[in-house]
Amino acid sequence: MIEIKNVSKSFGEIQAVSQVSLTLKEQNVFGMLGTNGAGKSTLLRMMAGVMRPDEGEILIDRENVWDNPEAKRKIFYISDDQFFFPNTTAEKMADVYSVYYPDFDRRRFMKFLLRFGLDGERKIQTFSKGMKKQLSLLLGICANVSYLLCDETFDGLDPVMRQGIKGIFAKEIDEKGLTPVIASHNLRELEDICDHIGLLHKGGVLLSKDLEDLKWNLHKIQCVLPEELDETLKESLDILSMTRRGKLLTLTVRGSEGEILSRIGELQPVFMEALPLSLEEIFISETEVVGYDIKNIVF
Amino acid sequence: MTSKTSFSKLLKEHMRHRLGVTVITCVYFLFALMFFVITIQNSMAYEGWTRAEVYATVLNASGPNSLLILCAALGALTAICGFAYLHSRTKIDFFHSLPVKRKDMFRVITANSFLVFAAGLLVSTVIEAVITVALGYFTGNVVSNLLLAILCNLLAFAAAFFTAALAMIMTGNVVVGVLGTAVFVTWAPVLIKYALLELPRIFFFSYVEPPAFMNYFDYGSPVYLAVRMQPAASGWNLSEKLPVMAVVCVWIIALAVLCQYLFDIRPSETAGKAMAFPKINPVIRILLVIPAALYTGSYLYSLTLSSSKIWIVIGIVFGTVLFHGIIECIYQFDIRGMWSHWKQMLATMAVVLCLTGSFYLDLYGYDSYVPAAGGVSSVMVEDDGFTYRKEYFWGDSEQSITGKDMENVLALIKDAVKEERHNRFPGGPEQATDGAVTDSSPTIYYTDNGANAAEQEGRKYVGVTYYMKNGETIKRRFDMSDVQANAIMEAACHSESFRKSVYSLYTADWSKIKSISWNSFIENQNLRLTEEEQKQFLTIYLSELDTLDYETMRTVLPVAELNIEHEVEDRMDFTDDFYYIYPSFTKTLAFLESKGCAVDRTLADINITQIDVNDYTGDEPKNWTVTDPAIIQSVKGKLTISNSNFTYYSSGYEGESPTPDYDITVYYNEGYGENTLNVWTDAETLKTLTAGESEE
Repeated sequence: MIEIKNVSKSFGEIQAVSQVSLTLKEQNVFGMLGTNGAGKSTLLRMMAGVMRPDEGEILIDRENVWDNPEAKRKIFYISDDQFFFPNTTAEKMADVYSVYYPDFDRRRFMKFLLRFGLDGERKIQTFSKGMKKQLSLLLGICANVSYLLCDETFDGLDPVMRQGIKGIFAKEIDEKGLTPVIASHNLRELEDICDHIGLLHKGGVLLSKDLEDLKWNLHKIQCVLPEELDETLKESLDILSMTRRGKLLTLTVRGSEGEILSRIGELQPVFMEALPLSLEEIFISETEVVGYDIKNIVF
Repeated sequence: MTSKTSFSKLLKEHMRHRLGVTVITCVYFLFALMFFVITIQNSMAYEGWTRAEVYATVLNASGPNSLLILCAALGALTAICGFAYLHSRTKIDFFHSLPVKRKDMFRVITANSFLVFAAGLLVSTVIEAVITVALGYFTGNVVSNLLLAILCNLLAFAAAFFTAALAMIMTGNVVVGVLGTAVFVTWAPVLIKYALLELPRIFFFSYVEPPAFMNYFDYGSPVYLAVRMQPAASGWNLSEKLPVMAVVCVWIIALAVLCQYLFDIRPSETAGKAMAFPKINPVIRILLVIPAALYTGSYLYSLTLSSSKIWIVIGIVFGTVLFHGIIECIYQFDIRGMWSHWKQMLATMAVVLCLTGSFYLDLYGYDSYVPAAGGVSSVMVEDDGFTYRKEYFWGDSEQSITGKDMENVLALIKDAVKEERHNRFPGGPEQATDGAVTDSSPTIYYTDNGANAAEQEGRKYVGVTYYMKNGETIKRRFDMSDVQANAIMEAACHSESFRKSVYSLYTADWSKIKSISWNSFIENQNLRLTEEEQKQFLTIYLSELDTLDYETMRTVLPVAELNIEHEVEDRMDFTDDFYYIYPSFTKTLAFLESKGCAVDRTLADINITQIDVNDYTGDEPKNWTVTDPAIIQSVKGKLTISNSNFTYYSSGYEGESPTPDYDITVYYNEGYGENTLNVWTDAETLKTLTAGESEE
């Protein structure tokens, strides 16, 4: 488990991370969402032990990560612009990581290279940006660590690769207890891969919830009801948003789907339907409640 | 859980990525080997070389040599390459996310740097040893020299390595890191030392000999010190270099500890910025701006042909603004940072101006310092006519002026200094204004402290050395009016202790004299004297030298010069000492006359065969030769030897020939072949010579 306790970090007069507290459970894919400058990379770099928090502490399995090789050996950090030695190849990079991560699975790495069509003997500097990201992920997975910290690593990966990585993650989580932490500024990059989402804005955490909780507790309902029943609806349901176009009413409601439909059914609507809610819509609704215009923050 | 990665594994892995530095190190040692071979080869290149000479060369080449500076450069380069990753966010993310403690990371980089260098050094030393074996010069001394060279090279490398490492750790940009290295190397021994030497040179009237403590500034830079381990012209001396080596060792340890500490706490996010520890930015800036502003002031002053010190002030203001601005621009990587922290800039400017002002007003009392007689053991004074005597003194007494004579001389010096100071600041130092200095100052001062000042009419330099009772020696060289200077020198010349400390003959061992010769403007000759005669002659000469006053020295041209060749202690050769014979030295002249030496002959006494005249008074220069014996006979008593013939430069004679619009050269023959002399004469005699004109 990664515990982030009241962590703050500033760069001169700029407060990059402010009093952030998060708990990242094991065997979950944690999505760290936020705009550029929200503090995602700073938080990840502190989690990786690259930077030291000005305040607070970050614990990896109850050990402070700062300058602690034991804790850091459980982490593999993939930065947004991963460093590879000049003129080196994928296989040589694997050799490098083998020194620092004694559990590095070289045989598996070679298999992955074949599976993803990467030439292990080709100089990395000739790789495309996407290939370098693939390589970073494969190196991280084969390091056999508990926590894989990915900074914008999935942005720009093609769907086939995403599916491939998703499959590997699922297997790693299941078999080896891997906990990937993925930072991105794009919600769509995260929604099909993450179990838990943390939303960062201006160095702070706006919300941190399980994706399933978000999805199960928030529903979009379209129904046809007379306008005079609007107040009754507001009283009986936990409505986050309500839009009326003529007789067609669109509601975003918190609660279980069955209960919501049952309550609306009692009002005998002409038409009633529960629609799938995208993660974007869920985020808009959740953050608007706490006073943020999320459309201007994330999308 | 996974096991810890061993240090040796980390070393091995890190080494794989230092190919560039390894190649540069190999190239360096290849060059050093070629240098070694060429040095030995050169000693065998000339005809008649001996094995002893080649062995001496082998000894020198195998010991610490001038390549120490390259070793230092290599150390700095290795550190810059090793720690350059700290300046790249991409690299720092990679390296510092690895499960390695920071202190281990620092040790790996340091150890690898030293391993590469030490391996090259070892191989190179072994090859040098093999070469000396092959040539048959391999001795215990060669081995000890090779070992010493290893030690010195390692020290120079380590000193530069940790200096550059410190700069790289304290900065966030490679260029700034390199600049920082240069600053660390030069700040104390160059920037501060020479800035502090420059101010006295500009502002003090008396000559400033760099005080001994200034050399301690060299100890402020381990790299500078390490380079000082190079052999002197006289060779490499371990006992002489040992203190330097010890201080370098202390520096290396201190720097290593400091580097390790700063490396541990260095914030990774400073990669790409100018400085890694912004809190100390103002301190670094101020420490750099102060000497830089001082240099700017003195440089601007040196460009002007004016004595006005206002140019120093302008230079300081300009230099402070400029260098403060440049450093702030570097700190912020933004030209708009030029005016940041303007209050600190003004404070720095005020410090520099106060420092300069303290020298301008001589708050330290350097110029006005004359010790109380009670604290002085003896005093030595000298003007240019005596300067060389101190350097070549071979007598026993160096007591200088003592007793009542000393008190008298001290009083005269005090009066002279007081008067000079009064002339400089008529209303007292506190009333000093630039106008006051400019108006009353008799000379135009340049940055060399008006070294030309005493060349001005009515000015003279007097060097004073105070030998204090506490063993201290204090020196001053005053630029003062010739009236004051002459009075001081006159008082000195009347002191027996002064004469004994100026003229070696009074106290020297005469048995060391190899030969005595004399020369006048007309001829020179060796004196052939028995030991007894020599003793008699020198006793007579010294009895007359006792009576020589400074006024005579200044105004009367000696008739001849005595050249005394004598043995030099601890040396196998001989050197000369010079004494002058004046017309008033009648007993000396009579003694020489009795030995057949007519040293006081004038032009009237010699056989002039021809007189050449070049007359430039008309529109066209005229040249003619006079050979008529009658005319020559009539004019030769009226010819005066020109100063251009003088070789008696150290006699103290201050007279000068006029510079007429003609040249007269006389040819004479005294039986040793034809000689010439340049002369001048009066208008009447020139007319007579014109009458004897026979055009060429």
